[in-house]
Amino acid sequence: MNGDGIASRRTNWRAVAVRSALVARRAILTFVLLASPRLAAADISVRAELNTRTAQVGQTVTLTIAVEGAQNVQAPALEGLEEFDARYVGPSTQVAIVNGQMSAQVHHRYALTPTREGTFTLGPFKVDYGGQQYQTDALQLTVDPAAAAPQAPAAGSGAGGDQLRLAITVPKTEVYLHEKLPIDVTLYVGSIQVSDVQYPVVSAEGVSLDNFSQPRQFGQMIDGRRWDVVQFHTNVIPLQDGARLLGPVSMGLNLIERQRQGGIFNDPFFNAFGSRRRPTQIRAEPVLLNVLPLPEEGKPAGFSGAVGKFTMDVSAAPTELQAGDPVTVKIALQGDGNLADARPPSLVSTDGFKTYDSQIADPQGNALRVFEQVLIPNDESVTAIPPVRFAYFDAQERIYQTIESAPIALVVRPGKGAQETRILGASGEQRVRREKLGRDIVYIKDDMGAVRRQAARWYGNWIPLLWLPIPPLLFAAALMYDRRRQKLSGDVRYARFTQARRNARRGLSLAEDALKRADPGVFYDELSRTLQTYLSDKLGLPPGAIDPAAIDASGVSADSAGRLRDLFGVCEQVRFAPSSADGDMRGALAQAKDIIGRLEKECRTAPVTESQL
Amino acid sequence: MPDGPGDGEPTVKRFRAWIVLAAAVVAIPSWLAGQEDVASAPQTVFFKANAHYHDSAYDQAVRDYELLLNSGIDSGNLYFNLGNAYFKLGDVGRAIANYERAWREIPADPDLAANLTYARSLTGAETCEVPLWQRSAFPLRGRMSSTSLLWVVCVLWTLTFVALGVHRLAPLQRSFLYSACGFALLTLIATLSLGAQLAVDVWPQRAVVVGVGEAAARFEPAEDGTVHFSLPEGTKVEVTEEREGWLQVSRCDGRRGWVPSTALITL
Repeated sequence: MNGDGIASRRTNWRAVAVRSALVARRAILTFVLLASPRLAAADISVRAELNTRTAQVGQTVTLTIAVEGAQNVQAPALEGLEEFDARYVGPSTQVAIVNGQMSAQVHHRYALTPTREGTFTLGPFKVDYGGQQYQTDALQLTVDPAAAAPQAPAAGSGAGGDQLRLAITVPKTEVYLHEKLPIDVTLYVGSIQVSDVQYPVVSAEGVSLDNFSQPRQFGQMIDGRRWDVVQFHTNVIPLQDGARLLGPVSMGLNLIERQRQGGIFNDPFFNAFGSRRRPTQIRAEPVLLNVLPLPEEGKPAGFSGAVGKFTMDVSAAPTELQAGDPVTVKIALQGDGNLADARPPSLVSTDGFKTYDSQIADPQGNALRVFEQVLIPNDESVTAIPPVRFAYFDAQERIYQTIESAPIALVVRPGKGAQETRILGASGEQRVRREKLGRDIVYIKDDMGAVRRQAARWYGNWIPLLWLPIPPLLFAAALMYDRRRQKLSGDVRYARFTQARRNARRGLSLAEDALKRADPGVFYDELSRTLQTYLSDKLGLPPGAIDPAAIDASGVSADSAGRLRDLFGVCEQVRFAPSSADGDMRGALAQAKDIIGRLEKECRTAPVTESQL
Repeated sequence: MPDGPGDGEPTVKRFRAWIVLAAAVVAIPSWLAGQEDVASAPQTVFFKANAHYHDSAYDQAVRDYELLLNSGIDSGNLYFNLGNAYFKLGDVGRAIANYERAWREIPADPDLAANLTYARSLTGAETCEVPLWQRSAFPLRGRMSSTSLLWVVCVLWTLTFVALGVHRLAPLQRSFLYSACGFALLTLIATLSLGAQLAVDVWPQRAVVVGVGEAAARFEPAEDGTVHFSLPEGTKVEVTEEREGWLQVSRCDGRRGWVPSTALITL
C-alpha cells in the first residue's frame, strides 16, 4: 500500500511539472504576441541583394529584398524588369531575442532570368509598410551571352534520355607543360528529378588533377528550355607533352522515378513516398589537349619548372642583429600557376652567410606560397641580404620571365663568438680565437712510397697465398707426432713391437762383429738372444717364453716357423756342444736376417693386449 | 761542267735522306735513353715531375707522372701527385679519378682523403654511403690496401695455428688456447673485410666521370635517348655493360644509364 502511495505521489508531481512547462511556454508566446505591435513601431530598414553580379542569358539569379524590423510586410511589386523573366519564390521570416531585445526580419525572394545580354540596373525597389514607403538601393547586373548548349548525351538509353547531359569544358586546348588549366564539368538536368549527385571521375594520363571544389548550382535557359545546372570546377596541370586526352568523365547519380500517378494521392507530398531512386552513370566525351613542351630558347639558369604568372614579395626579420644570429627571409610567391609544385627561389649569392634549406611556411596555399629561409651572417662585414631570384615561364606571353627582389639592408654587429672566447677548463684558462680557414688540396708527396709493377697486384703475388696452407699442415704434423709419442710412452707392447726391428738390427750387428772376430760362442749367443728378443717383442711374449710351441701358436707361417726352429737348433747345438762344429756362421747370420725380414712382412700389426680385448 | 737540271733533283733527295737518317741516329738512342731512364731510375723522373709541379709547370708534371705510369710502375703516391697536377690544371674529374686510383693503394692516407673530399665538394660528386651493418661487419675494409690486408690475414692465420700447436704440446698452458681463439676471431674479421673490399671496391669495374659539368646518363645508348639522370664530374660509378662507345653505369642508388665512354675514365 505504501508503495502504491509513493508511486501515485510521483505521478502527481510529474503532472504538475508538465503543466508548469506548458504555462511558461504560453506566457512566452503571449509576451511575443504582445511585443509585436512594439516591433511595428521600431526602426525599419530595407535592402536588396543579388546572389551574383554577373550571369548569362537564361541563367537564373536570385534577388532578395530584406526588410528588417517588421514581419508582416507584403511582397513588393517589381518594376522596370522588362528584360527579365521574374518569378516570386516566397518569403522567409526570422524572429530573434538577444539580451531581451527582440528583432524580426522578412526576406522576399525572386527568381530573375535575363532574356538578353547587357548591363542592367535593378531597382530601386519600393516597400510599403505601415502607411509608409521605404526604398532599397539600386543594383547592377551584367548579363553575358548564353553558353552553347551541351551535346553530350546521357549514358545508357532511358536513363534520363535527353533530359540529362554531362559536359567537360576547357578554356583552350593548346597548353604548355606544367601550365595550370581550369576545367569545368557541368551537369545539365532537364525536366526530371535527380538526387545524390556524386563528384565526377575524370580519366586522364599525363596530367595532374586537383580535387574538385564545392559545386555551383544555378538555373539556365538554353535553346528555350530551362535546365538545372550543377557545375564542378578544378584545375589540371599537364605533366607530359604531346597529345593528351582529358576524359572521358563519368558521374554517378540517382534518377527519381514516380511509381504511381493520379488518384487521390496525386500530390507532391504523397508522390515523394511513391517514387524510387535508380542509380545511373552518365558520361562526357573526352577533350583532346595539345601539350606543348617548354621552349629551350631563353630558359634561365635558375628555372625550376614554374609556369604561370607570378609576383614575389621578399621580407626579412630581424634586420639588425649580431653576427652568428639567424635572420629569417620570408619569400611569398603569388599568382596564377602551378604554385603547389614551385620550388623555393634562390638567393643570388650566399657569400658571407651560413644558409639553411628553405621551408614551406604554408603548405596548403594554392594561389600563395610562402617560403622561409634562415640565414646566419658570418661576421659584421655583411651589409645586406642579396636579391632573391625566381624564374618562371609566362604561358600567355610565351616567354621566360625572371623576377628579382631588391637587396635588404642588414645591420650586423660583431657577435660574441667573433670575439675572444674564454674557456674555463681544469688546466687553466685558454683564449680561443675563431678563425676563417682556407681550403685547398694538400701538397704533393715527396717520395713514391711503396712501388711495384702494375701487373703485380696482390693476386699476382703468390707468396701469401702459398703460405696459407703451411700452418695447418705443420699443425697436423705436430698432432701426429704428439699422438705417437703418447702411444709409445703409454703402451709397452706397442713400443716393443715398434722397436723390435731396430733392436734386432743392433743385435745382429753385434753378432756380425763376433763373426768378424771368428768367435762362434759369442756369435751364436748373440744370434740366439737377438732372435728370442725380436720374437718376444714382435709376438708380445715374455723373453723366456719363446719355444717351438709358442712359435707355432704365434700365427707365423709354417715355413718361417720351420726356419726358426732350424736356426734355434743350430744355435743350441753350437752353444751346448761347441766341439761339434763351428757351423756356418755366415749362413746362420744370413738366415737370421732373412727370417726377420719375413716376419716383418707377416706381422705388420701389433699384438692385441688384454686391456684392448 | 755544270750540273744539268736533271741531276739536281736526285742530289736533293739524297741530301734529305741523309738528314732523316742523321736525325734518326740522334733521336732513337736519346728516346731509348729516356725509356731507360724511366725504367732504371723512376725516382729521378718522379723528382723531376715534382720539380715541375713546384714550378707550377703542371702540364709537364702530368706528362712525367704519366710517363712513369706508362712504364708499368704502380704507386699510391704517384697517383696522388698526378691527381694534384690535374687539379691544378682545372681538370677536377681526372684529379678525382687519380685520387680514386691512389685510394686503392693508400686508403688510410689522410692527405688523400682531404684532397678527395675537397675535389668532390667542388663538383658536387656524391659518394656511396656504406651502410652501418657493413661498417660493423667489415671494420678493416678501406683501412689498408688489399695486399696489406692479405698479409695481415696470413700473419693472424699463422699465429692462430702456432698458438694451437703450443697449446697441444703444453696443454696446461691454457693462455695459448685463449690466444688461439682470439687470433682465429681476428683472422675471421680480417678475411671478411678483405673479401668485402675485393668484392665491392676492387673487382667491379669502376669509372669516374670526367669533362666539364655533368654527364647525362640516358635510357639507351644513343644521343637522342631520354636522359635518366645526370652525373656530376668526378662521380664514381660502376660499369655494368659496354656497347659501341657507350658504357652502362650504375649509380649508388642502383639507377642505371648509358654514358658515352669518352665521358668516363675507367679505374
